Amino acid sequence: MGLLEKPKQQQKQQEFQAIILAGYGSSNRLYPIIEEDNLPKALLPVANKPLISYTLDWLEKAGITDAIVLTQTMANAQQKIAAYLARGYQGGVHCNLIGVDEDFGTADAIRSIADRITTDFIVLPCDLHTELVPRDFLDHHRISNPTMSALIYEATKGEKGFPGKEDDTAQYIGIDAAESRLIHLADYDSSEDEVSLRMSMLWRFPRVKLHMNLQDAHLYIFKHWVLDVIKAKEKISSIRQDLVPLIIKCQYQRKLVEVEEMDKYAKSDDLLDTALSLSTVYDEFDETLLNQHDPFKTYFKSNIKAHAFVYRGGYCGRANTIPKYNDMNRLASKQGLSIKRIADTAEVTQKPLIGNDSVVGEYTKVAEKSSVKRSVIGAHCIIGKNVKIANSIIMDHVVIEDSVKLDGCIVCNNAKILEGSSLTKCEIAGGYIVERKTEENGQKLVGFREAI
Amino acid sequence: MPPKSKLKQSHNETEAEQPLQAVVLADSYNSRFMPLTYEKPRCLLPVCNVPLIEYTLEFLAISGVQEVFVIATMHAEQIKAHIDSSKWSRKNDSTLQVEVIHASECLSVGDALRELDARQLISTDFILVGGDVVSNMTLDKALEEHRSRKRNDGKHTDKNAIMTMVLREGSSHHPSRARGEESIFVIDPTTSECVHFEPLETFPRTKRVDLNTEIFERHTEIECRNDLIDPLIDICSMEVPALFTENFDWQSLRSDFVRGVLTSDILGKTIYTHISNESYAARIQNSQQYDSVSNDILKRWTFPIVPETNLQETDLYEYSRGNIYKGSRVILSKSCIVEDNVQIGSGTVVGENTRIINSVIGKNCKIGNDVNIEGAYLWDNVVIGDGTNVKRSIIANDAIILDDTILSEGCIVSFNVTLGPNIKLPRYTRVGSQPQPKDDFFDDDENSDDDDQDDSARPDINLGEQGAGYIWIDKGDNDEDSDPRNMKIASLAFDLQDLNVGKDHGDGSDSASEIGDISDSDSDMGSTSEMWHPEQSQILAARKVEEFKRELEQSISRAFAEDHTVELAALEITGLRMSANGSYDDVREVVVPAILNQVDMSKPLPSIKAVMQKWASLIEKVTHGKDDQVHVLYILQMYCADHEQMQKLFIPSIRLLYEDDVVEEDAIFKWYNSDRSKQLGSPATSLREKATAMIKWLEEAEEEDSDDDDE
Repeated sequence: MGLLEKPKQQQKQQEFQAIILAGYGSSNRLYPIIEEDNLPKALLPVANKPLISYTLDWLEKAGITDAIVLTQTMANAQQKIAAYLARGYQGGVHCNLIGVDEDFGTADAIRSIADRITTDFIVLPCDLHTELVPRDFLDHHRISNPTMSALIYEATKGEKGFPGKEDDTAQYIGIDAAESRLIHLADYDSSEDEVSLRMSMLWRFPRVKLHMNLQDAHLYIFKHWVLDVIKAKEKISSIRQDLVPLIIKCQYQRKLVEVEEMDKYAKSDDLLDTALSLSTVYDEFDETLLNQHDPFKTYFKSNIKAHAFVYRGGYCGRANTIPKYNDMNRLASKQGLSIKRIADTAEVTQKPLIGNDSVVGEYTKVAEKSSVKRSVIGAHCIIGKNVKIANSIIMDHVVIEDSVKLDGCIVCNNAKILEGSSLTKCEIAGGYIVERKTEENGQKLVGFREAI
Repeated sequence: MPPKSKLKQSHNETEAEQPLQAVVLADSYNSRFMPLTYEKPRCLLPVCNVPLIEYTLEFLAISGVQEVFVIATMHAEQIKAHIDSSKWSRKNDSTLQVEVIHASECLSVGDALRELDARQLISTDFILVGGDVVSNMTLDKALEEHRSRKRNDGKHTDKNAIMTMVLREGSSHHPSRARGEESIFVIDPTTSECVHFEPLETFPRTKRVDLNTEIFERHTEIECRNDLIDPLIDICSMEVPALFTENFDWQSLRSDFVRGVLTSDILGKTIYTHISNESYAARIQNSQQYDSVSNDILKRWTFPIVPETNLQETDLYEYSRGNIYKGSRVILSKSCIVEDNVQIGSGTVVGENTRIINSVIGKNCKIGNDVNIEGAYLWDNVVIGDGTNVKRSIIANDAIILDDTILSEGCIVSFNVTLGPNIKLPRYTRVGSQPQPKDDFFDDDENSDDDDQDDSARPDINLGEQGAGYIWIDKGDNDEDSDPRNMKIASLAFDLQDLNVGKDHGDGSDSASEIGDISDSDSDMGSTSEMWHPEQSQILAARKVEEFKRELEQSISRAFAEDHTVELAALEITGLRMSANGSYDDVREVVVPAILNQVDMSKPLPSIKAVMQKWASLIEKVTHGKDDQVHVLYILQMYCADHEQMQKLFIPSIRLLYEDDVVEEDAIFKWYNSDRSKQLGSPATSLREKATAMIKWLEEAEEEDSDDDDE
């Protein structure tokens, strides 16, 4: 199982190929924890497992064994991910890591590897973690057989970044319930005071539910022919910003379908459709016929369909902001999950002080009278006496001296927190040394690189 | 919690003591049914041989209403007489008490509600309906919902709720929706609160619906619905009429009141909806809906409100297969064919070989032989002569259609009119028994119809030798902003292909916004807005203009070559312009460069003088007023800028045109100071600079108030 190994001869034709976008998006929302001196996003620990391993596990559960991992050739991210996939990853998904230019958009990246994709494909981010059973989503896609399926999820209550005005990742998602079509997808913009809906959409889909409590998981399944669209149209640079809106709009904008010549690409492979079109007795009730003379109501039946699968009731989330990353850790290590709480090699003096909602990694030492609640502690950490850690994420090789109090903090690799400090809601960058008796609240503690 | 339930009980008791009240707005406040409504109020027009208001009152009676106030303005005495003689006035068998209120000066729904408020008739929550509702709905649920919002124990308590709109689920293209007047309701699906209301317009066409993001502060999930039929049945609190009094400029219940309440930050009131998907409800606001609702009744969508339930006691309809309803004493000839969906009133006689389909025939009509009646509505005592053909028209009481007359789709023939024999009434003709008043009650805007094609058609329609009646034309609503076509598309049997959308929509105003619309706010993927005919017709129009210009060019160059007189050239241009329906702007764009081209460039200055001496007057003939003169200057500027050797002609030609009084100094100043002249690119702007000297000179000349130039 390695990168350098030649791809094994596939026994059977895969139904889907997966493309994992590792290291895209989020921009600076995760600053400083994905800086070069720490880890790329794909490898951020969630309950002491790298983020991407959750994505890969999900794919494996979906029966997908072939994935292309796209990462930007930025700093040493590619090497780090390659190292993980080669040595750390234990699962059964065969990954092919490809680095692409730093300023390539997501669609540009896919365009550059288009010839490696031979089937319908799933595009998903590396930071998605969900309890959704993959089969539910894939079956929904298989049954409705649309151009594109998108996973939409309801933000769970536990997630702190509950969509609302204060969250800049909130979205307006419009879904036609009758056909479960995804027909409107726009980012929330606090500077705009109006949401504009096209009438052509409302004539085609007269009942639109517009949600602000739903989120786009950025997990899409596309028909293989969409690749031809990506290849032909250089202006499509981003999946989320260009491709998905294009497909959504092509459902109801006749003009756009014509201008973009979408019908040229849209090949129907649906056996039923083909059969029905050949049938002489089947007569589909078609409202278009009733109103085809009506020039005022554009009623347009497009071959292009974007479906939304709305997942409710279970956890689904992306670690694309610091609070959401925090939430994901808390959920992945929450009470009741049958995960290994304290690694065998860890040396914990007073085990009862480690809450059963926390995780302690390999070779970590926790001295006496130190308590850990709702927190994740990585490997090779040294934690002194009388330390109180709550709601925090401590990554690997972190040194925490005596009598330190941490609440809601993220401490990156190799950081040091000296005696007596008390930090609340802080992010401590990789290798940063927090001076003695520092008291901070809501700060990002980042050192100049020279200083380290 | 005992105290609460006690409270609820006592609340219920007080509720029970109060009789349920309803307000019926009998007037339409528009002229949609003219000329019929000139003689009879809309609410008394027969729908399936029963006056419309009977359906409304029946519906209210089913819903348990005990007291009804009918607010009437036009023909109030007729309405009163009808109510007095109807079953509702017999105290013993009627559960419904109907009182007609004559509000003589109401011009809108708003006025009527202000009148209602002034009279203080309402003592509790009431049901507000138009006098045109046909429904088999019961309002129990909606009333219960409305009341529960005011209670403390309800799931969705909202003390500020003042109205519940009862809507019916249909589809976006449902015929019961008033064409051209559909509206979008944005509703919170969990509480049914209406958070936004958007009336849709056809002319000018609504392209987008903008929702204020503030909505999302209170609602995380909303539903935009373009599939609802609004029968205008509202459960209102007592505050509603009072709000109309406070806001004296509110006219309409939906676009003023509902929008006003929903968008107001100060009022703090809320409006809810109740959506029914089982029962029937529709209103008859225009003749298109008259047609669709009548059809629905014949096809029994409104059951139990169907003809054989005999809403009027004197009726005795029988139902037979194929949705055929026959009254008593109907005489059908042996050879006549009565096909599906036909209602025939008592005492009517139908002649030989006559065919009737999808139609309603009133009482005591006489229908001759070989008549074809298709989708038509004949009211009482109508006489139809032999060999007549009536298609999708309304013929009112006592009208006489003589032999071999053809009524095409969409005709409305009013009371006592006689037509024929042997004529063909074109589509959408309206014939009244009285001449159309110049300035009728609802129409004080005399020129509302200057682009109406029917206007010119009015005198031309032949009503036949024995014809007695007057042609009426659509005058449009009294609303100045509204496009008359909005009303046209909502009239009986209107075929949308007849609408000349291309001509008016191609003229740029709409299409320009459409082009500007291309890039979407959420992406610049070159998404184009929806299209229909204007695009094509725009291209066609552009092609026409091009063709016209080419012909113009040819004719002018001929004029130069054959040295025609200016008069002759002007005549030819006029002829061409009229036949191609071209504009003077286009003419100037051809004429001015063509004249400049006549200048011999080897000796430009003398030559231009000679050319202008003759042809300047041609420019004058196609230039009317200051704006046109400015246009000439732009053309000169552009043309000279585009052709290098012409650049030195620019100043001399302006001067010559000025001397010939083709362009006046005001126009030159206006051109010189306009932004456009400064932004036409580098050669053009430098030309403008060159004119500076001349401008100065003109200004000085003006200041000195000197006589004429002698340059």
